[in-house]
Amino acid sequence: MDFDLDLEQEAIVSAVDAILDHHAGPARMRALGGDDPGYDHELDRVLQAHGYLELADGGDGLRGRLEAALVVEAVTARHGVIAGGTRALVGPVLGIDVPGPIAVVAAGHRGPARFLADARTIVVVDSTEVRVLSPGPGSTIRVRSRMGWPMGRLAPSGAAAGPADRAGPLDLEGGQTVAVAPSVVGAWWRVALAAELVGTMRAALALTVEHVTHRRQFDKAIGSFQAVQHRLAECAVAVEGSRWLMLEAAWLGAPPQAAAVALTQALTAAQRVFADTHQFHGALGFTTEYDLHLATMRLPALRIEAQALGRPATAVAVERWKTAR
Amino acid sequence: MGVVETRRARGHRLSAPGDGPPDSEGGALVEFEWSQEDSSFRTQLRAFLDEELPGRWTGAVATLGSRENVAYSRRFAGLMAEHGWLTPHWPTEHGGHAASAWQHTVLGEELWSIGEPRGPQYMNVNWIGPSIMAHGTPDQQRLHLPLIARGDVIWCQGFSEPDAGTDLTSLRTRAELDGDEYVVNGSKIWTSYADVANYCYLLVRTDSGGTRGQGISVLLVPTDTPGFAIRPIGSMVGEHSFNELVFTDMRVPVSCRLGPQDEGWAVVREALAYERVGAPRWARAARLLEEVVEWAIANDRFDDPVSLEIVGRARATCEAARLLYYRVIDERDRAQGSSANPSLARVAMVQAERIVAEACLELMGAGSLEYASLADHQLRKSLAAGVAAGTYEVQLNLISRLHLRLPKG
Ligand SMILES: Cc1cc2nc3c(=O)[nH]c(=O)nc-3n(C[C@H](O)[C@H](O)[C@H](O)COP(=O)(O)OP(=O)(O)OC[C@H]3O[C@@H](n4cnc5c(N)ncnc54)[C@H](O)[C@@H]3O)c2cc1C
Repeated sequence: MDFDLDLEQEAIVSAVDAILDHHAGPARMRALGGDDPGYDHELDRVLQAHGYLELADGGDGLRGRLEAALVVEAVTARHGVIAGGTRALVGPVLGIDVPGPIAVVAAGHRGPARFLADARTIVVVDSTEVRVLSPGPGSTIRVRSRMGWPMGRLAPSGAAAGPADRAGPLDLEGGQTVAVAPSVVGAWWRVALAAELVGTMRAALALTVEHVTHRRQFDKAIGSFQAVQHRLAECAVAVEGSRWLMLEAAWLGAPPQAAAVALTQALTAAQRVFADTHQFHGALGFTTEYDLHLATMRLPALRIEAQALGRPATAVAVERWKTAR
Repeated sequence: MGVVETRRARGHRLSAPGDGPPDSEGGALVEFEWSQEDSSFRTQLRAFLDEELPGRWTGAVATLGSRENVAYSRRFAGLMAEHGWLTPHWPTEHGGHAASAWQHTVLGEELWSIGEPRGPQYMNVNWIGPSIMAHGTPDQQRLHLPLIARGDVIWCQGFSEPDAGTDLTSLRTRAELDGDEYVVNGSKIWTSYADVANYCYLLVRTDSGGTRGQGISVLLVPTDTPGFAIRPIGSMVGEHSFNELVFTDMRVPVSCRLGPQDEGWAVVREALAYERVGAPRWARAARLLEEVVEWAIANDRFDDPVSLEIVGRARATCEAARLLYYRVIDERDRAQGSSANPSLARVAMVQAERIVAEACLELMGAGSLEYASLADHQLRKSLAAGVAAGTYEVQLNLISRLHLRLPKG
């Protein structure tokens, strides 16, 4: 057991942070559209160019997966608007090279999903197989949202009759079946979501700690009130616990139970962090001028996606006590 | 920025854990696996426990604090001592073999999860013995350490007083020097095991002029000393019984003082720092969850979605506590300085105890109502988790200060 990053891992995290200094952060997210941002192709390109989204591919085994998870966490902690989790953690297990951005959905998905309009690859997780689709132009459309991620959906079938350069409607039942078990892709999807939740929660919590340290009422910093301190301390426990579970799950290679455990804990933490970080900002947290919502509103979107394969807590119980029997 | 490129260029490939030192240049990497040595220690220990305690230490009755547990612990600790497993982490000159903090953790996990058959003696080996090693006179060490190492003695901890709980340094039990003896008057409360203990690790005030931490001393007092009265206080937590101690002109030789006079607070803080993360409560909670699920499966109560959901969440909460606990051990293993990590772990462990209690009630339904059912048992145990040995709120205070660095209240 060892909980310290080694020099190389630290170097990766700080190099990614240096890139994020230039190419991410709340200002960049606002430039992309704020709480309804466009996909950040530039950040994606820069991270790809340096290989930071393919750490898990590199034959470095467990180590690579852990590093990939650290990168995904770091990117979301800085409001990155890319499909980093699916690229860095799900892509490598598909067994074939696919172009990014990668969107992942469960079979039979309806309604909006993250990155669907930007994806060059859609991964469909079905009960017995995993399929990969390449959406043609016009087969997906943007959906307005204010949950902090670029949302898209499949174009309605009627839209098929368009100009010749437009593809027909996309059939999630179609596509190419890849040689990987749905449980494997599902588990990495869960780890990726846990990493994105953890990064996002860290951003929200850090902003809140800073706020309560400086905001004064009754001649005191509000962060000196024990009622505030205790709830933020509980948030910290929730975030730290989720973080280490997520890293452990990545390091272990996403066994289904560990992946579901990590995501369960991250979702529980997210509920707390969402409510309390807003609460301690008072009215300020409501304003679009202030950055808090850029992080917090992403949490419910991740939560919805996290339930695509069923409730993670139920999956924990099933994996632990039913599958083996 | 060149890390990835460099690694690709030199075709760096990581060895699997257990294949030897992973990365000679960078030091150890984050890793979540037990070493061969620790795993085989666990295997041996489990084999021994299966043989010695077949099926006995599951469930509610025999756990820490019960009479059965205390009585059995004397035999059990002796057996552990014979195997060299009672004080493996002690230095060799005191009969240990300087085992790693991880082995000590394996021991704690395995024993605590089955109800702690060492009984109150876990305190001896974890912090009372080490405290005597650090501050005891040669005579004190010769008397106490072999007793502890043989598993032949029970201690109690005389800290809390009616008016000094969380605010422990406001304690008022007085010890006045009279020749080469202290004369002790006052009282202690909530003292576990005092009724069965041979010795008491007692905090007294030797200088009333001293404020807060100053003027406190530690006395190592035989419980059969004249003037040492013990009154049991019934408790709703298992069969655990508390005691009230009343000292009336109790005469204690100065040679029983541990460490310098008036500076006992530093001695205690150091002793408790060693055990600051406390017992691996998550391991017991996780084990109890396994038992209640087994019960539910056997009783056809494990299929509704609500049960699955809460059990899954309880399992995840125990797992989070496990990693936060391990992080503290890792930190201690490297002898890193004080941090909020023990408090993060302790809060997570209390949460684990509580949600497992919820899961028990949910799964067992009316079955919970029976005396000493798993749910009845866990509900009570979970209450103690947030109070004994440093309350939940005190841990939150520490996290605010040391981890979040929030301004002082
Ligand atoms: C099962 C069990 C076994 C025990 N065994 C022993 C033993 O062997 N020896 C021994 O000496 N003691 C023992 N104790 C006592 C234990 O150490 C005390 O209960 C503990 O220190 C709390 O003190 P208190 O009960 O007086 O509560 P109080 O100090 O009165 O606290 C009550 C509540 O107020 C809160 N509070 C207090 N101060 C603050 C603050 N600054 N900020 C926020 N909240 C605060 C506490 O967190 C708690 O929730 C045992 C207790 C239990 C439950």
